[in-house]
Amino acid sequence: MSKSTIVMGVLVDDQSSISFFDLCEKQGISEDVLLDMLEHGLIPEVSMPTTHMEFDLSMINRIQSACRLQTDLGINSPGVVLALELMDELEQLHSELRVLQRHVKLV
Amino acid sequence: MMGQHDYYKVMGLERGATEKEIKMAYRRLARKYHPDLNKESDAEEKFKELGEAYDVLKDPEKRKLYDTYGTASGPGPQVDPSQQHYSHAWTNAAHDFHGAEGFDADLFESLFGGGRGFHQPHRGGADRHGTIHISLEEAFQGVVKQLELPSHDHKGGRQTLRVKVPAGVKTGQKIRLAGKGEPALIAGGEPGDLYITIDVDRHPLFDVVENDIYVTLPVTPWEAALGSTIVVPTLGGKVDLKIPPNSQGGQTLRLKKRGLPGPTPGDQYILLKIVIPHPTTEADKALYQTMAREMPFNPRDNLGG
Repeated sequence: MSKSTIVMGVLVDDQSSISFFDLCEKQGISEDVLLDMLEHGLIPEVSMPTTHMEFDLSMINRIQSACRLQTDLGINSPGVVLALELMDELEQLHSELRVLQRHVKLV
Repeated sequence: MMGQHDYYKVMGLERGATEKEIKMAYRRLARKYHPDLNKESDAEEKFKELGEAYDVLKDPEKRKLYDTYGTASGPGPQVDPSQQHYSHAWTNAAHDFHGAEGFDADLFESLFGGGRGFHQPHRGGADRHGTIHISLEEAFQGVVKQLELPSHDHKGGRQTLRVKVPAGVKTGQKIRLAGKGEPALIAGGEPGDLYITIDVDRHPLFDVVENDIYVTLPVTPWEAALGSTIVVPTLGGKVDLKIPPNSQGGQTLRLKKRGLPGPTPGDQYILLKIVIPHPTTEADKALYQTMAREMPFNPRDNLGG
């Protein structure tokens, strides 16, 4: 027996943010490690990272990605930042390529 | 499903592989299939299988048991190693989570996103994570999707949820359903939340780049040369588009705010593609011959030819 419920989906808010220390605690990483990754340029729009900064959802996702790569593959901070920068570039090229490939193939 | 793969095959190894070979294969494949580096949809699954295989093959004891009995837990009651390993974060097997609309349990999320990420470790229930696939039209308009989740109220039952997905969602965005995660472990605790990641399917006509929509519009040479008004499809319905005279193939026209809705609505870009008709009759050929004679034109000027 299943009962039907209607639930409004709430889009996880891009505007909501989390503080530096809360992020470290929830993510289980040390403050030094996070600061080190940020100083290597993990988040391009953050040029001067401090422990007073706040992180929005897309930044949190990037930091989680970085932590996974560090743990799972044993990559250091500069390596993680390099990998993610190359992934950004790859993603952008892929989306342009998708458009152009379809353009070329059509008709 | 889990635990039934040939671990050697998963790692691309011979049965006699040395410990060093096993380690090297793991490192190589972990890089290859890591879901943060590999955006293929099956990368997560492969990465999980790899971790499971490596967990057994790297340990001489477990490997011996596996070689002998085909399972790392030896003879006797079969325990799925993946369940042993992961079940603290994800109590429902992945296949239990397929819903009426194809809701894939996202084990990776619960392992790494939820398990190591933002879960509530104390009294509250764990968050649940999953993915739903929607069409681009559904993303544009918003849609109500029906999901089936294992219910915690009665044994083996299923709970049907109708979830409103707001208009303008994009691949990778998440929807939170408060209180629809795992129940609290102790009485009085808050249940966890359910996070649904959106995956927008590829569209037969349109490509999405961030908030913008791209479509290729085939036009005739005379439509491009003389200008014309052409009906083009957009996600919001058909729109009249003015092609200016002297247009060329490869040029891009823009329909403002005809892309995905949102705080900064996207645009629709139209890539012109000039398609020439094949001359089938003598009269057709004569038309081309007249053009060749009357409209001298060298498209290879820039080639220095």
